[in-house]
Amino acid sequence: MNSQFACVKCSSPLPPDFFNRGSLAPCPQCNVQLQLEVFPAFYRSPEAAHTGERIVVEGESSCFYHPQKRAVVPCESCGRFLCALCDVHLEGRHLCPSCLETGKKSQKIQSLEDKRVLYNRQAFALSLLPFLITGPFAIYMAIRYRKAPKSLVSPQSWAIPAALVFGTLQTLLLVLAIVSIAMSSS
Amino acid sequence: MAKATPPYKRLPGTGYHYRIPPWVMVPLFFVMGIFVLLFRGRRTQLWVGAEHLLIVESDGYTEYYKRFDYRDIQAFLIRKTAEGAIATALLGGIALFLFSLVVLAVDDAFARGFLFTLAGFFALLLLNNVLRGPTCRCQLRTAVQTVEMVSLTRVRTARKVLTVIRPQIERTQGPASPVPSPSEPGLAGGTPEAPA
Repeated sequence: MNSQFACVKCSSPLPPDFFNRGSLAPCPQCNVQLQLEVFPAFYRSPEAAHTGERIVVEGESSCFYHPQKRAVVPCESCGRFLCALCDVHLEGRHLCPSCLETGKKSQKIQSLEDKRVLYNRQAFALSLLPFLITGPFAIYMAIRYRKAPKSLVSPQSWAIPAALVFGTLQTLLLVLAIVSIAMSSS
Repeated sequence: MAKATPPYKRLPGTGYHYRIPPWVMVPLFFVMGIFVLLFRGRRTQLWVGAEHLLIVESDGYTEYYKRFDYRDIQAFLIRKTAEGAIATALLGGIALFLFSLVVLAVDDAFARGFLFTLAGFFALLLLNNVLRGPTCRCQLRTAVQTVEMVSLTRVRTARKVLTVIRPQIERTQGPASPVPSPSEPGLAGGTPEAPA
């Protein structure tokens, strides 16, 4: 990664006195108005990578994944011994790569979750659609996914009860329509 | 029972990942009508959490999350663009043209009323555009990526967001100084420490 900032338009490097001015200022080369806020993380060197220490004394605990490396910590999920290379520190816990992957797939580690299907909104939208099967299907979805995780930022807890109410109304109307058609034809 | 504090707080600004250039949507609206919104893509908003900034993209029924830990954020860049000025000129031109038609060229009362309403509509759009201030594009930079913040399209909104996230970043990283002190250990540009 570059240790300099370049203008987004002309790509010429921006001088350090351009940083943190708190207002827009013209790029020295192309005059485009820029405001650049730089934080201390920019000045820090990248942390040295851990590769794990080799076992020097026979009988020392070794890493589950790298038997020739010294174990430094057990995985807090599965208990396997891990070397410094395999130790993943996340949310204050030490995990092995395998548990990390499992946690991501099963959505048990919230900070790794990158996508969430909002079944409550789907059920509510279905309950408002005036098609033949959408009412019963909305009821089915509302019951089936009543405990499914909701939006991380705006949960909309009213959506499931509303889907049940509107879905039931829609289904009742459908039944009434079918019964009245059947009665009028007979 | 006390109500639990929500983990995230909404920041101003909403943007869209357009599937086509946004200006193409205007003429396309006259062809497709409301269905032009199908080209608008995911809605993007910013939410501020205790440990990270969260970008939420939503297509209505699925949300996609991107987290930026405050300790990883290196820089925030605001670039003023000319889009707002162009929109002002276009809307002003249309409103002026319609008003001049009303005053100079049209005699029919119904047509005058219609054109006057249309001119007023464009004047309102112009006023809205002027009041929202100059447009911009924003980028958030970490050590490994540069992300376009599509929800921040106005300088004023971007500064509001910066005002909120700056204390959070400085809480984890320390205060941001205008120019780095040369004595500060581990300045960028130095060679990273060799792996053990």
